[in-house]
Amino acid sequence: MIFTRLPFIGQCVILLLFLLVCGWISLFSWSVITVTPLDALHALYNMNEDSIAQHIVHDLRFPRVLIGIMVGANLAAAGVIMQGLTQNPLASPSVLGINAGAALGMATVSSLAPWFGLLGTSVAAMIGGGVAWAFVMLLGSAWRSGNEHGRLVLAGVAISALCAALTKAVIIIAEDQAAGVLTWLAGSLTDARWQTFDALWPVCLIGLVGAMLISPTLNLLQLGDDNAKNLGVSLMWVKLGGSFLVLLLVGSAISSVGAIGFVGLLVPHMARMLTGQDHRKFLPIAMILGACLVVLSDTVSRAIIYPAETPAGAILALIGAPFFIYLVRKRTL
Amino acid sequence: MKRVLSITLSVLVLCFSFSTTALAAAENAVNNSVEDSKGTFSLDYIPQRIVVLELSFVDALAAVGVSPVGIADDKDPDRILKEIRDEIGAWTSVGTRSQPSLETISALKPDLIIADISRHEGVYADLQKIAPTLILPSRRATYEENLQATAIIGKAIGKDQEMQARLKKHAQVMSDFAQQLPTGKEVQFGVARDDALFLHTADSYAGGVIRALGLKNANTGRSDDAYRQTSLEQFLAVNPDYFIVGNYVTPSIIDKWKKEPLWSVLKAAKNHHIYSVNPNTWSRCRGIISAETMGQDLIRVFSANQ
Repeated sequence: MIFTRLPFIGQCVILLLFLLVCGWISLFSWSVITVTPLDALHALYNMNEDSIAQHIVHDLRFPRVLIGIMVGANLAAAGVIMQGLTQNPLASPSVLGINAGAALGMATVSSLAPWFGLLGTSVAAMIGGGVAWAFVMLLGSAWRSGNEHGRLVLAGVAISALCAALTKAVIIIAEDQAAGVLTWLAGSLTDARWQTFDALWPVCLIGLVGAMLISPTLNLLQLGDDNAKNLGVSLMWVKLGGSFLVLLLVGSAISSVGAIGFVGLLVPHMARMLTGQDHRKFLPIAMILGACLVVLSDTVSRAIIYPAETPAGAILALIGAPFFIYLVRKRTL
Repeated sequence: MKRVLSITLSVLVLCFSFSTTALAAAENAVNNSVEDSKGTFSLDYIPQRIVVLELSFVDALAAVGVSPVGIADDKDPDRILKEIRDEIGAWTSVGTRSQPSLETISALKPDLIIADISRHEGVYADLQKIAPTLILPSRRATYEENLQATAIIGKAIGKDQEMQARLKKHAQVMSDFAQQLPTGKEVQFGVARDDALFLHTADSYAGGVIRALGLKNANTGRSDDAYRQTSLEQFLAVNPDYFIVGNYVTPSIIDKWKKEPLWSVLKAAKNHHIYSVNPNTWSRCRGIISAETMGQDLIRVFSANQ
């Protein structure tokens, strides 16, 4: 493939251009009120206050694209960190129970304990995800060196199943709130607005910069825990710091758009196929790829049963599952 | 002699009473046979202990003055409209409509269960083990389908004549309301939750009532579903003249949308034609009594306008 032979900067530029085009298409495509490609540009540069089309681009579509980009980058970065920390190719927010835990946290708060509403559902999602992640790490004994890879995944699957079952129970008990929780579980960018953007970007920035900073250490971890220790890595701090970053990235992403799976699992592998094993290189590539993937699936989600919308999370699962099978067949895992 | 006479008399009386009950039973068996969503349903007695698993069936029973012993009221008696609560006696809650408690239902020893084909088809066999089960459309059903279901219930509980009379009166009431309402105005109803708006399309119960009152449904695009989740962008495309909203929670998503600049582009928002109503009446009850209440709501809306 020509792409893999390009220098790193070249790869980044091409992917960024691709992301820009995806974003632009997403601004005007499949709208019930006609939005022209030019409207999409005008709305960004000099907005005509009277045009509904430009209002739609400015108030609905543009924040949606930006949030899609951030969520994609967040989840991809979280996937890279998790896979680096645990040395497990299957590690990702959805496999290791963070999504399920966050869902349980949200469902519990919105249906059973409304008094918690003061803190908001995003905090609940983060707490739920954090608790689930801690349990998985403990059960899978990820803190011990030389752990078995299978054990961590099994712990993740078990905790996910437990959380999913409890979430269902909560939904059944408080049926009123079920529709909202179900929308959230499917993961959709429909309600992404400027407020969501304002809440998301600071956390997202800290998380992504942190991920870039931790990436050289992730390279060292690849050598095995003992070698990394000899090279001066404090395993305890790296793992704690990495877990905190993961929670920050995943928590902020899924609390703003809902449980979007597969990005964290797939994109690191795609990026590794493109650039090789160096975390300093494939982490940025993974972020851009993740952003492209989420923006694209959000665009497709509007097209499938136009004019109604399908949740973007469902589209990602549709794209993700076959690609994952392909990866397994290619034995790149 | 006296003794013989009294024996013959009592035998005669017994014979007579038997024959009348047998006759009545035979008559009922013929009368009560109805077609429900699963085929022919018949009872050979007048049910006394009825359990209903959807709110529209409570409405139907209340319309002919019959009280159910158990209702799947989602453990919230206020889900039954006050107009209906006044008509019926005390009942036992049998849980939620989506997950009614089979234990509670069988503890009530019902002699008839009325279930919804959309929600309860999965437990139809279990319900039948408890009591004869009449299964009819309610959720996602249209206004016309609901009227038919109401007529079927009337027949099945042996109150065919009363129910027909009530339905005739209902048609009269609705056409009287239609007289008082402007014709051809576009009205859209939707229920708002915390994070989602569901529009009730032309195929929904509320859509049918709106048409029956001589008003028009807004065009919601593809019409293959009674309830459609709608984003603000899609709602802008529907852009109804009048928007009636039932808030399941407050503040609902509508309150969030009201703060956005795009909201003011809506025709209904510009002309202040947004009204909030009781979502239990407009969305959950789906019966003739609630349809009449909806008519009164609309008359209030349009008279406030003039």
